[in-house]
This record gives sequence, C-alpha cells and structure tokens, in this order.
Amino acid sequence: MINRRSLIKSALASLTLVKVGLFFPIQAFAAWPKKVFSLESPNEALIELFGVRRITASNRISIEMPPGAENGAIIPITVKTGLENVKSISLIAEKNPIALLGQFTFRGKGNGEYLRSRIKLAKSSHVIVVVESDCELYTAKQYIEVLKGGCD
Amino acid sequence: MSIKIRTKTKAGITIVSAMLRHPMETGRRKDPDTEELIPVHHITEISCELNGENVMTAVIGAGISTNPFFSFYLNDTKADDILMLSWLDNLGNTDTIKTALK
Repeated sequence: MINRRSLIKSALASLTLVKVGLFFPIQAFAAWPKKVFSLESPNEALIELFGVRRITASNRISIEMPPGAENGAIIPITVKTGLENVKSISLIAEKNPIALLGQFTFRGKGNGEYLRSRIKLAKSSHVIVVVESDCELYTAKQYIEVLKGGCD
Repeated sequence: MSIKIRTKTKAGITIVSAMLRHPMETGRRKDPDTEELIPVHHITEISCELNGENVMTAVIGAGISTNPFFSFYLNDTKADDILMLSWLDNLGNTDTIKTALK
C-alpha cells in the first residue's frame, strides 16, 4: 500500500514539474542587466552596454515621435532603419532618472528594421537610438518637448 | 495580468503587435492616498519565439510605458507557424501566450 501510494505521489510530483516547465519557460530569459538599468547618464549606459566600441551617427535610422507631448508617460516611438542585419535596437532617454528604456535583440527570423513602442520621458530631451548592424554601432537622436514628466 | 497579441501576414512578412498588461511602476510614484512610495514593479524581460526558436528578446526598465506595447516584423513566416511570447517581471511573475499565424 505504502509503496503504491509513494509511487503515485512521485508520479504526480514529476507531472507537476513537467507542467511548470511547459507553462513557465523561465529558461527563455537571460539575466536582466541590473547595472545598466541603474545608470542616469546616457554615456555611462552606452559604455555599460557596448564598452568602448565606436558609435557612428547615421542618417539611415529614422525616429518617429510626436514633436511634443503633454504627458510624458505615454509617448509613441517608431524606429525604422535601412541598415541591414540588425542585431539590436537600444532606446535611451537623455534626461530620465534611468537612461536606458530598453534593448530589443533580434535573431533568426526576427527583423530588426522596424520597432514600435511607447516610452516615458521625465522632461523635454532627446531620445537616443543605437542600432547594432553587421557588428557595427550606429546612432540617431530626436528631440521631443514634454510638458508633464512621465517618470513619477 | 495578461497578454494581447495581434499578427498580420503579407507575402511571408508578419507584423507582430503585443500589449502586455502591467503597471510598470518606477518606484518613484507616490500613492495619492497614503503619500507612500509605490515599490518598483516592472517587466524586465520579454522573449518571443517562432516555432520554438528565439526571434526577439527585450530587456526593459520602467521607462517603457504602463501596459507595454511593442510591434516588430518577422521574415519568412507561413500559416500555422507557432508564435510564443513570454514576459518576466522584477518580482518573478511571468506570463506566456501562444498563437498560430494565419
């Protein structure tokens, strides 16, 4: 009896493990880079992300944002680039308490030539975009007027 | 918390639009009633897979707006490809959605 009961118990336990593994694919996540998300200075954030690699200004990156926003909490942003083999797009706010808004990395069939999102800005400032393409780094920036800060 | 996902495919190129329901608290906002700071609570990572292969990973902070929205393109897709999107937040909460492309 006891043997059978413990057998059932362990069978159930292993079933639960399989279920957790299937529905919570934690292993899909790499570690979140805590340090870069603590930095206020855009330059320090860039060094933390890319080291001392050269970043070249490019007119092949377009940043679409409204020219001004009453509320800095929800600002639509669209990044388009004609650069090829885009590996990542990083969004950085010039004057937020934390500079890095997010870094999006594309692989395989993921196409990094277009990205649309919504960001928070604390005050009127530039938004800096860095695109990693063919192992080179390119950047562009766009200014936006913000009436009410969206970072509180 | 939930995920809404929309896809549209034309000539093998799919646009994926996703909206994740999440407060994205910066840790600097005060509760209007108690005047106390609301603790940091935001999504940290997003992962998107097509047929089990990673196509997009994002690391984000609280500088992405409440209820994060994003859209991007996938190349060479076909009907019935399986798209999976998951997120993880700083408190260890997670959510996943799976959908088949039309």
